Amino acid sequence: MRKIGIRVGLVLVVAAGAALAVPGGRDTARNAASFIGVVVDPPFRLQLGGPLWRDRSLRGGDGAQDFAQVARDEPLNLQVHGSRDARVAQVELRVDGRRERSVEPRCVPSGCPTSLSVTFVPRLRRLGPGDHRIELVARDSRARESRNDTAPHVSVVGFHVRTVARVPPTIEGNPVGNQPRVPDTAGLERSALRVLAAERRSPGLAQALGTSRVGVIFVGNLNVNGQRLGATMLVQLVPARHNVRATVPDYVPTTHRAGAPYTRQRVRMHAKALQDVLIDVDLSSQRVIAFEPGPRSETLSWSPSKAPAPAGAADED
Amino acid sequence: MIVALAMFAGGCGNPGARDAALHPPKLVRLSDRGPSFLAYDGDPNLNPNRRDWPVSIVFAGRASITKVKHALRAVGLTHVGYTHYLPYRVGGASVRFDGDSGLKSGCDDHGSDLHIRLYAPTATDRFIDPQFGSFVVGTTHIDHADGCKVPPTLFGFSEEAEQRIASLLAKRGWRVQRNHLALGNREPYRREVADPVHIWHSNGRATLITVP
Repeated sequence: MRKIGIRVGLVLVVAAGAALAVPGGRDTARNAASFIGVVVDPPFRLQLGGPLWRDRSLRGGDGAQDFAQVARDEPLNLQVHGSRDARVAQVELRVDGRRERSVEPRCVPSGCPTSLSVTFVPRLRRLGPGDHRIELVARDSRARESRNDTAPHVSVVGFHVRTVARVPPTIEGNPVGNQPRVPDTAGLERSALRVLAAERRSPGLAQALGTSRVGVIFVGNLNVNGQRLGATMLVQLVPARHNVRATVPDYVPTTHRAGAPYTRQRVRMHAKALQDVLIDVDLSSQRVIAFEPGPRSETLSWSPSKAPAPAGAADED
Repeated sequence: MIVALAMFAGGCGNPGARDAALHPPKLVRLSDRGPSFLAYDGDPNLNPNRRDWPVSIVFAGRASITKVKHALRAVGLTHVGYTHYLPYRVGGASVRFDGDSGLKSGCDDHGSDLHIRLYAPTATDRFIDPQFGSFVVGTTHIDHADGCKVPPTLFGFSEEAEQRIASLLAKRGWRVQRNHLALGNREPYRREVADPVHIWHSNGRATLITVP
């Protein structure tokens, strides 16, 4: 007979005091992480705890994972609670579907025990890094050696853990107070504006900028591998420009390590409104290498000569 | 306020670093007995060169992910984005990574939208700090031409996004203290040639929003 109406409830209780609501001191954070899981899957009630249970992977409301990186074999505590009619004859640990260990308590003629506590230490270090499935199966004497997890007299609980070869070390630092001093960017701004002034009579930039004044909102480093190549600016056009058609400079990052970090290209642009613009200046070549409508501008068409979008956009957002 | 730091061993500004924070990302605490969290989100690992955005908003008081997201949906952030992760550690436990796709506003006339991701332990839906109460942390940025309107596509301007979200929630009556918490994650305005769609900009001081 198949088990009808398996009732599985995952109940989280705090191991040492109700610590969730009240921020009460040093132990609060530790207690909040020390959950015990209770799974009711008749005929048994399974209670889980220990470091491996704490480090299991979880899923949030939007489906995204919350996981720990497990780099060592960690204990998993299990308590199986039955009743007079459901006595614990066997408890099995499975890792990725394979039986790793089986525990059979000593049973007497009057029957097996009604409860059992056991600590497993699944051998995870020998497995490759990644997500692994841990399952615990409890059976009474009528289901001993049954391979059917949904059969009556069998209770099952499972969860995932993520293993890694090594957890990166951490270095404890000192308390910090004030912010570091903000570096002066006036020199960088002057250099970038000089290059822009020299280039704004070129046909593309002349069409794009018209007679608008350029006001710098932000300026900072344009970097290659963390080293400054030039300047990047977000500028405001005063007055804002409308219905602008122009062919403007842009670039495509190159993927090879040696040689130029980018390839220049031209973009045919039609902007309904140009209020702000991102301008990149290569100070080594003294050229404007990018002119892109900013977040307060509205573009109607953008047609690059080489690439539809810069590399690297796929994992952004 | 005391901000204690732990620093992940690893470089920053390495050759080939595409999405490297200005300085090696750090685990920070809001107070010396509280849980710690990395001051940046990013890929589901601790690679300092795979960071996305600095933490720029802290919701404290009686905050939970559920409560803050409910409020953000009510002010128009009803879309979702791409999932990133924030490393954190509670007590002496292992470092964990919480993932969130965040909430986004709809695109405005310019093709820009606001995007905020919120992080806290999934098991509790919040961090708990002895001084700041229940709190969750958020990274913010603006997406431009991200699935709407016309390229060029841009992501970033975290500082601007932080201010806009703070203003939206201030109108709800939540107490907003702009640039209140120094988290050591200042990102001066800058761009990396290898990833020009990513525009870094944050003043390293998170806005503290008290959730009633």
